[in-house]
Amino acid sequence: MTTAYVPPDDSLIRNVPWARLRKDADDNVLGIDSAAFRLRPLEPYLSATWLEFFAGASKTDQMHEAVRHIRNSDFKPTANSGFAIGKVREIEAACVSRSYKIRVVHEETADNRAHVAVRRWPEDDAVLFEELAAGAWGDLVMNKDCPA
Amino acid sequence: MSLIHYERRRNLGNTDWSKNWSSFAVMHPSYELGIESGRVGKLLGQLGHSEGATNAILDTVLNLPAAHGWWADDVFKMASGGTGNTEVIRFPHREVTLENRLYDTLASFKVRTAQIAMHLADGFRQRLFRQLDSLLCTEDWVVEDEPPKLASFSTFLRLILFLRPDVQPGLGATQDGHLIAMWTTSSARLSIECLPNDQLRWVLSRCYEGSLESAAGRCELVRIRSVLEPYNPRAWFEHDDGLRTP
Amino acid sequence: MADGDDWEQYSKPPITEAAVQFQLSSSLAQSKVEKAAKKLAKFYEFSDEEHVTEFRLNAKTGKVEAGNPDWLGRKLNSKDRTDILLLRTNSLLFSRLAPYQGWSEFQARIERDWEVWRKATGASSISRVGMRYINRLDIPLGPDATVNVDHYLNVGPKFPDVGALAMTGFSMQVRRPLAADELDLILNTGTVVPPPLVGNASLTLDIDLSRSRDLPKGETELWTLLNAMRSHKNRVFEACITPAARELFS
Repeated sequence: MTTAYVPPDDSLIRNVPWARLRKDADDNVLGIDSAAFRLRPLEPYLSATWLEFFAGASKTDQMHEAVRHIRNSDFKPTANSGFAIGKVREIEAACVSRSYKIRVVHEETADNRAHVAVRRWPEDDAVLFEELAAGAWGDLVMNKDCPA
Repeated sequence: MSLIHYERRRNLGNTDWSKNWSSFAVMHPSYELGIESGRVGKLLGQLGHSEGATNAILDTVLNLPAAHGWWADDVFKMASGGTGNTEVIRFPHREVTLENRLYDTLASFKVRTAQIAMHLADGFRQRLFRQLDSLLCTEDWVVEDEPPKLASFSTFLRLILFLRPDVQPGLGATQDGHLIAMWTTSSARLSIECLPNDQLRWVLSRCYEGSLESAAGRCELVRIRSVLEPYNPRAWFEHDDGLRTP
Repeated sequence: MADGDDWEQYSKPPITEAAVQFQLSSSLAQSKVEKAAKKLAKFYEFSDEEHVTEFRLNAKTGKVEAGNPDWLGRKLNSKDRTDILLLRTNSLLFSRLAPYQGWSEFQARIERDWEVWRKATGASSISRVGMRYINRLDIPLGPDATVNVDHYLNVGPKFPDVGALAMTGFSMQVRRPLAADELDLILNTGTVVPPPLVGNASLTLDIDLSRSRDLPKGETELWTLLNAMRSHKNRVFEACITPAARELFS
């Protein structure tokens, strides 16, 4: 069976819970914290969604479609969560700079046709996760800013 | 003889104490429990507590306010007569739900803050409580996440009182129950994850001449100033106008 | 000794908890306590029911027997968890955690809640009044990481010179009747381990006053007694601390 890698110029979108959003002391959201990219215990890969899987006249339309799809999946993003968006090429480059050869694979699940498994993801690399959060995977869109 | 008042989840068949207890009230002044703690520890061991759980229970008990001390004296008098070797332990309990767990966590954090509130500016404390209210809100909490541990929050408070930052941090939480203190400027970010027992994990990044520099490490709380010194921590901790916050 | 409000006297009062307890002459039915709790709930953000299950452990045999859950009472809390009211079938406990806002505010809450309780339950006969102030002195450690207790407290352990090294901890309780207002004093002092602040040592000064005889029948006399207890508490506190201690929280 051929592995379906997500093209490097395409983008991944991943939900970031409220607890892992960077905030100031008044809870104004400022970005994504590096902890958003940690694997849970026994998680074999990092989950994300393939943005360009969805049709849309613009990147924004595709992003909104992706968010709708995620909302309709078994995973229910909370009201004040956000979505981190990053280009596969840049995410891979950041990982290579830390000596990780990740595999960004489209693996459809029962509730998410655009599901991506980012395999060979490091269990805990604070520097990498910070570089992703501050850069390569650091574009943030808030759930409440996406239309129904 | 001393009594320990456990707050235990309603699930009497589950003897995994490390998961089932939430908070405790000492029924005697803490100094007296200190004397009896060895005896209590032995009893807890006989109930099947692991050493770790026993130590954690006693550690939590010794740090709680003594507001429960008086009614406990009444219970003690009722229970102690003629029992010889019998110890009485009374367990309040509530149903285990995510909402209850977050509720208990939030309550315990506010009570813990009270222990050092005389060292905090009132504005700092009020803002901290607003942050905790929103962080531990059921509607925005991920079910799979472990609520932050009291031991982590204790480290956080000690960190704040040690650093005395002018700028109050943002708050986050890891999925395994640690609080994260965050400082962010236009060009630099610092996150300090508060582990139990004054252990810290820190990670930072900053833009320098167009490229991103980052660093991470782990240290004891007392070392954090020295560890961060090469990265100009004043940029995160101090107001431009020199105003003090905590 | 200043008669002024504690809060006004010190900018950072070292009080970690102030508590006043009224023990009732006879127990009430749960329904009456619940009725009072409902009336009082409007003054507090949280109202939690408390239950207990009793387990009997025999240390010799290692056997455990579990009882049925019992209703214990109600716990009312302010939103920031600093104002606490514990309602039991035979007592009320008013508690204020740090930051302590002064006697005036605490007293006003006690009077307000007692009035509501009394009207809701009809119970006003008291068999014991207690007042407890737990203070904690947080003392920055010097370069040699030691603290001379005598430098901060006028009450502490006496220990003969046996060639021992510096003390690493102590706890002490003194019980004595005060020669005024038929009050009994329990004073606890000792080291706090671990100290809440990094680079500090902490000492508790826990002043517990109570009266169990010849209790006031009316409210005016009850408030007069509380004020007197507070004055005695202040007197004991000031007598136990040194000028160096005052500098810590002025």
